[in-house]
Parts: sequence; C-alpha cells; structure tokens
Amino acid sequence: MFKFRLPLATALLLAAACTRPAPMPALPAAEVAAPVAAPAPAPAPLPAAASPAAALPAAVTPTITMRATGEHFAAVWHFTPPKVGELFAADLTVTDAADKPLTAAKITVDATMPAHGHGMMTDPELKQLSPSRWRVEGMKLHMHGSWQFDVRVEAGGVKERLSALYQQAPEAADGI
Amino acid sequence: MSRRRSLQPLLLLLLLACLGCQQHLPPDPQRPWSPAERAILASLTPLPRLPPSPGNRVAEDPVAVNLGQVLFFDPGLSANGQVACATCHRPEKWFTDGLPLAHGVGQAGRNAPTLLGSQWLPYLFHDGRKDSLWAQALGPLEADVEHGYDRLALAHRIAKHYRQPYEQLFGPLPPLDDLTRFPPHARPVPFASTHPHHQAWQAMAEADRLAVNAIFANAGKALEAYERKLLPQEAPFDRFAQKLLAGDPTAATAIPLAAQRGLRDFIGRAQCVNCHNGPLFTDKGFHNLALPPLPGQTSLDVGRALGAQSVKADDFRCGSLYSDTQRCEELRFLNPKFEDFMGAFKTPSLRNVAQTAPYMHTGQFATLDDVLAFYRTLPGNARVGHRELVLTLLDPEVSQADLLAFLQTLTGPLPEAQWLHPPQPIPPPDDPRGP
Ligand code: HEC
Ligand code: HEC
Repeated sequence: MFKFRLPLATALLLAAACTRPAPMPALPAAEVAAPVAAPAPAPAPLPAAASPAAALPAAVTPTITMRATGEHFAAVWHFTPPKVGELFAADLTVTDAADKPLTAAKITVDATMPAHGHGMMTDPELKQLSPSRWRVEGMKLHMHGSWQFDVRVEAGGVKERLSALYQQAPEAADGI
Repeated sequence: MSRRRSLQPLLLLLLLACLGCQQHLPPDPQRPWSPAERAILASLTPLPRLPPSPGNRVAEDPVAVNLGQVLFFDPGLSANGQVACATCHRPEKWFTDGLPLAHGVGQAGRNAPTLLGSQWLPYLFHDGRKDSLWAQALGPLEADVEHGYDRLALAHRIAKHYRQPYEQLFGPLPPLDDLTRFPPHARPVPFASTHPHHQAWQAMAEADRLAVNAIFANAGKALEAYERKLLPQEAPFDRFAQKLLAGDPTAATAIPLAAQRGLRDFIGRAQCVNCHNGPLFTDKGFHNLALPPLPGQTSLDVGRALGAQSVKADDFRCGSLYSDTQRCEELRFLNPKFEDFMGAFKTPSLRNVAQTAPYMHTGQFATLDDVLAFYRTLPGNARVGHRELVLTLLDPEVSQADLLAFLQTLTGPLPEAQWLHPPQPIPPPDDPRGP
C-alpha cells in the first residue's frame, strides 16, 4: 500500500507556483518582470523551483530542479522546461531521505493533472544510469497548468510515492 | 497511468488557493491584459514554421509537389473514375466538403476535416490512426466508401500517366506491364479473404507486393509534398494579438470589441484553451466530449482507443520499411492504453473554423452556435467511455455571441491560388469499374 504524504517541498513548490507569473519568453523583459498581486513567500530553502524563474533573461534556457522528500526516500527531478505538447526527457535522482544512494531500488514515474483527473498520453521509459540515477524519456505535458510528478519507489521492502508539483507554462511547441 | 480522483484535503486546499490567485476576471475590454493573459496570447500567435517531415525524403521537392497536386485532383484514382481527394477536401471550402459525413464512392462514417494545419499533427484522422500525412493519404485511396481504389490500379495508372516525374523522384518502376506478376487490380482487404482483390494480392510474389507497396507509399509522399503547401494563413486574431503584445495602440480596433471579450473568455473563464492551445488552437491530443450522436447513428465509436492501437501496427508507420526515418519518438512513447482514449477524438484546430461547418467527427453540429450551445449545457452522457473531467459547464456569464465573434477572427485567407486547382490537365480515368 502506498502512503500518500504531502512533502514540505511540494507545499512550497505549490505556493511558489501560485505567486510567480508564468514565464513569458515572447514578451519584453520589462513585462516579464511585472509584479503580480500576491507577494512571494520566503524563498524555499530547498533547491527547488516549480517554474523557471520569470526574471531570467530570455536568452538563458533555465532548467528545473524539483525535489520531493518523503519519509523514506527523496527524488530530485532535473529538466529543461518543456513546451506544451512537446516530448521531453528528465534526469531523476532517487536516494534515501538522507540523500544516501539506494541499492536495488525499483521505480516508476508518472505525471498527472490532479485538477483534471488525467495523466499523460505517453508511456515514459526509464533508463537506469547508476544505482540512484535514471534518465526518463517520453514525458509529454499536453496542457498548461499544474502537473503532479510522481515517483513510486520500492527499496528494501519499503514503498513510497514522492510527489512534486510542476506548473507548465502555456507556450506551445511549434513543431513535432 | 492511474487516475487520481481522491486527493488529500491539504493538497486540495492548496490547489484551490492556487486557482484563486489566477482567478478569471470579467472580460472588460478596457481592462489591460494581465501578464498571465499576455503569456497565453503569446502562445497562440504567430503561426509556427512548418515542421520537417523526416519520414518523407521528397517532402520539399518541387517535382513531388507537382505530382502530388495532380494526384490530389485526379478522379482517375477511384473505383468509379469520379472521386478525387478534392471531392471531399474542396479547396474553396477550406478543404472540407460541407457535409456531416463525407461522400465518395459510398457514404463515409466521419466528417471530412480541413487539411489546413494538418502538417503539424503527429496523428492524423479523428482517431489518430496514422502518424504522417503520407501514410494518411493511403487510407482513403483504398477505403471502399472513399476512392474505393486499389494499389495495383494506382501503380498501373502511375506507370501510364505519371511515369516521368515518378521515376525522376523515386527511380525506375518495376515491369508493371507484366500483368501475370502485376494484376490490374489487387490489394490486401482486411477481414475479407474471399474478396477478388485480396486473392489477387495473395497470389502475387512477396517481392512484387513489396515493390507495389513502395509505389503506393511514394504516391502518398508526393501527396504530402503538395499538402505541405496548404497552410493556414494569418488571421485578424494574429494581427490583434501581435499588436497588443507589441504595445501598439491600434490593436484596440484590429478586431471587434465582442471578439476581444470572447478571446478573454476563451483563454479565461470558458477554459477553451485547456484543449484548444498553441498557435493552431489544438493540443493535438484526444478527448471524450460525450457528444450526442448524429441523428440515426447507432454504432458506437471507441475513437482513439482503437486509433492508438492501429497506428502502432500500421504497415506505413514511422520506422516502417517505407518510411525514410527510424527516429519515431512520438510512436515510441505513445501509450495506447491511456484510459481516457476510450471514446476520445482529436482536438481539431480552430483556425478557419467558421469556414468548415458542420462540426465534430460526425458533423453532428451544423453551426458554431450549436457547438457553443453544447459546451454551455453538456447534455447527456458518453455512449462510450466517459466525458473527460477537464470539460466543465461553460460559465453562464460567458456570452455565446462574444465567443462566436472571437472564433470568426480565426479565419485567414485560403492558401495561394496556385494550390487551389489542378496544375495541369488531368488524364482521363483508365478503367472505371463502376461503384
Ligand atoms: C470520401 C471523401 C474523402 C476523400 C475522397 C478523401 N478524404 Fe481525406 N478525409 C475524409 C474523412 C471523412 C476524413 C476523416 C476520417 C476519419 O477520421 O476517420 C479525412 C481525413 C483526412 C486527413 C486527416 C486530417 C486530420 O486533421 O487528421 C487528411 C490529411 C486527408 N483526409 C487527406 C486526404 C487525401 C490526401 C485524399 C486523397 C488521397 C483524401 N483525403 C481523400 C474524407 C475524404
Ligand atoms: C476537453 C478538451 C476541450 C475543451 C475544454 C474544449 N474543446 Fe472544443 N473540441 C475538443 C475536441 C476533442 C473536439 C472534437 C470532438 C469530436 O470531434 O468528437 C472539439 C471540437 C470543437 C469545435 C468544432 C471544430 C470542428 O472543426 O469540428 C469547436 C468550434 C470547439 N471545439 C470550440 C471550443 C470552445 C469555444 C471551447 C470553450 C468553450 C472548447 N472548444 C473547449 C476539445 C475541447
């Protein structure tokens, strides 16, 4: 049985997602930096960001690092923010909650939109690179909005689901 | 991929808080567009550049474009000598036919979509059972109710009338005049092993069948090269959004105020942009709207649930013997068991939608007003699968007239005139066999 615990990181990510403007690469920088209604909460102490920092100059391709820490395990996602409907790959590190490598961990990944009750139309593939690192290929977020990235970990007879929320910006993929 | 319906209360609370901070404001055209709205507008324009078609090495070849254009208008490529692609994809109707269900040699089961914008779709047909324009084109040619044609007849017609451009593009044709090896009519007919065309096909040598398949695929590739000229053109909406984003004050008069209000609703509280997103106004995905059937239609259609399986098994798919690429990421990661595929159909592009009535995969709605009335009330339940949760009743405050005014600003001109008619006289049909 999976225990669903909402990690602190998730809560912070969510709060951050709420208060930051979505990235707007097509707009002039002044517009991008336009302040939004609610003041941002104190920045998360974790190396986590739910959406690429909006104030970055457009030329820099930001990467996302999202951490989800559970009771037993921790997962860190690392990827370049995809466009809506674009296939993308991510690097995933799964360790124990104290960041120690695991031996013989089994993992599966998934992304769903909790508000819409659906997942991805694709079936991502996992390639294990080292005992605690995986390459995830074939992810596709077909709508903008809030996606929950789940990693199900099984190691040493313990199972846990690690969730993190990612805010997909509206910019659409222009090719296929 | 399992569905998560039950959420922890805490997560739900946070989500609600999140939705609250992106609240949908009333559509006052005087109110400046918020950063979030501008971000969405910027995702809807300009029209994207044409993506490559790696599976088709002649996709950009002018000789292929010309050959494809002739084939597109050639009624000789049909069982009765009367049906061409252009019969159902009529240029002057933005490449649709104005009918609920298309009509060729017989009555088709679905509505003919426009071809403008199809170049960006990773999956073709309402159920996405083909993964390229060239592979798609082979479907109608052999469908009994469309062209009712067969690949051997096609090969003979190409040898007789189109040999020069064909051989220039694809190399020498096999000795098709040897009718013992290459009968006048033959094709694989699924689920009809006693069909004379099927038996003739089975009687052919394996190598000859493969050679004919290649000719068939190459005809599709020429058709695709032509179809890549049928692009959606800039519409009033694009001019409005681009001026607005550039801070040009003349944006205010680029489209009617009602359309501006409708646009705000489309990307805001009406939530249309959840599925109709990106510059083509489609997520290129598949959804079950639980539409009412066309009156009198009783058959059930599982849509994408079957389409996703078919495309993975298609003889002419990406990476197949006839494909010019082995890089097939879309197909590789496609999850045919995605549960929401049951009863789902492709989100159509909304570009030029005011010109392409009737609407939906069986043309069940005659007008855009009927479509909007459907989104307002969401009547009935799904006959197959279930209505997707993303789809919620249209906010009663949203004006249908405003949404309609907005949809009308998505109409651009037809593609350049040179693509709207046969480029040269079409040779007469060879051997019409009657319907
Ligand atoms: C009898 C009418 C008819 C003829 C003839 C016909 N089509 Fe179609 N076309 C349709 C219908 C109906 C559909 C949708 C069928 C479905 O989804 O099952 C369609 C779908 C398509 C699509 C997919 C568009 C999309 O958005 O997915 C393309 C591209 C297309 N046709 C091109 C062609 C070409 C090229 C030819 C000639 C080789 C052709 N059609 C002949 C009726 C026709
Ligand atoms: C859940 C995703 C979803 C949402 C939300 C949605 N649509 Fe659609 N729309 C679709 C799909 C899928 C179809 C095609 C359905 C079919 O053919 O079975 C469609 C079809 C249409 C069509 C007909 C197009 C044609 O060529 O047949 C129009 C017009 C349209 N939608 C407008 C809207 C508007 C306006 C809204 C907002 C009120 C909206 N849609 C919201 C998915 C969606």
